[in-house]
Amino acid sequence: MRRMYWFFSVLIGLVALSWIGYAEEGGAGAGGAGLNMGNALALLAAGATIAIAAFGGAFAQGRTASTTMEGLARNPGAQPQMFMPWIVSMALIESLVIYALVIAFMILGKVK
Amino acid sequence: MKELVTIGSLIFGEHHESAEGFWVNALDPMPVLYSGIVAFILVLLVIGFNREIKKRAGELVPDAGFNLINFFELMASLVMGFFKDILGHDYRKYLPILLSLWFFILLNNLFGLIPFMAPATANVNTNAAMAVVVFIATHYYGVRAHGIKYFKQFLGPVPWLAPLMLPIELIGHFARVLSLTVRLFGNMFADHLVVAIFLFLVAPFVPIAFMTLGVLVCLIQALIFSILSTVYFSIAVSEEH
Repeated sequence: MRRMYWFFSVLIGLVALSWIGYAEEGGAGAGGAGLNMGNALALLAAGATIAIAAFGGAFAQGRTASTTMEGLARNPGAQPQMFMPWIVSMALIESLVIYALVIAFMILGKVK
Repeated sequence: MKELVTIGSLIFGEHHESAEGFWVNALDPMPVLYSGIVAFILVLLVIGFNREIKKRAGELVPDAGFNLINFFELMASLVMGFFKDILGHDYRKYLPILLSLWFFILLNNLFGLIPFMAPATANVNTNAAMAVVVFIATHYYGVRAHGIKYFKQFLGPVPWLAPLMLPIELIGHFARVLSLTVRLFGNMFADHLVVAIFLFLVAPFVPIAFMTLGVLVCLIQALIFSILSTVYFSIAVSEEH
């Protein structure tokens, strides 16, 4: 319960800080090179994209690997059978992280 | 990112400036050349393989050592087990396209590990082309196996659910093309970019660790593409009892 209070107060704090973003009205026109608000938000978005994706992907792959190790420990003779499905499932989970990475590249490409 | 793209263009040999940012990658003419070289090499290898097979027609015991027949047998046997498992007893009808995909993607990926070459699969266009071919082949095989009733598959299990199922199935089918493309592209591009960055930032022989990982990634991604194509074919031609 306390964690939820923290979470929501952080969210409200972020919303309260949004007045910073209203400093320059001017959209695409204000897009000079360097560290203006647009570029800053783009960089932040790219970083957050890959960070969250990597977190979720690592979590899922960790669970897959741990159950595979457990099964292998119970029955070491099943190792030849187990290798390929394990590799395939890891690659399929990882592909979701790769989608997020490509989006991050696209966002970074828009930074002037 | 502009510096990375510049480093990338030095490595990848890009020559186009009319797209900007990330999409300068999509107008690069070099991957066409590289994939053409790979296709040419594959055709030469297969012609040699045919000649060797005809020379030794009927012999049961293979020659020891590294010759062309053993090479192809090894590379094909890595995936034929999966094809047989997924497609069932008439898997031989789909072997031309599946084995072509497997060999083509594998060789393209591995060519990226040569120091001044980029893999042709690190470009969105190569992957998109292969994914579109797989998409068209799925529907072709489905119609060939089931006739026009193949399209009933899009309507779901129960007739009154059809208006809901049809958009979902269509989006799922187009998402397959996108996912095949982006999975292979992301893996190859990111891997190559990481090696390129480390090459420019650190001493010349440090990226060998990444290139070793890169060999594994090449193999696994080619395998995943082939196996997913097989699964899509098997879904298209499956007999619903």
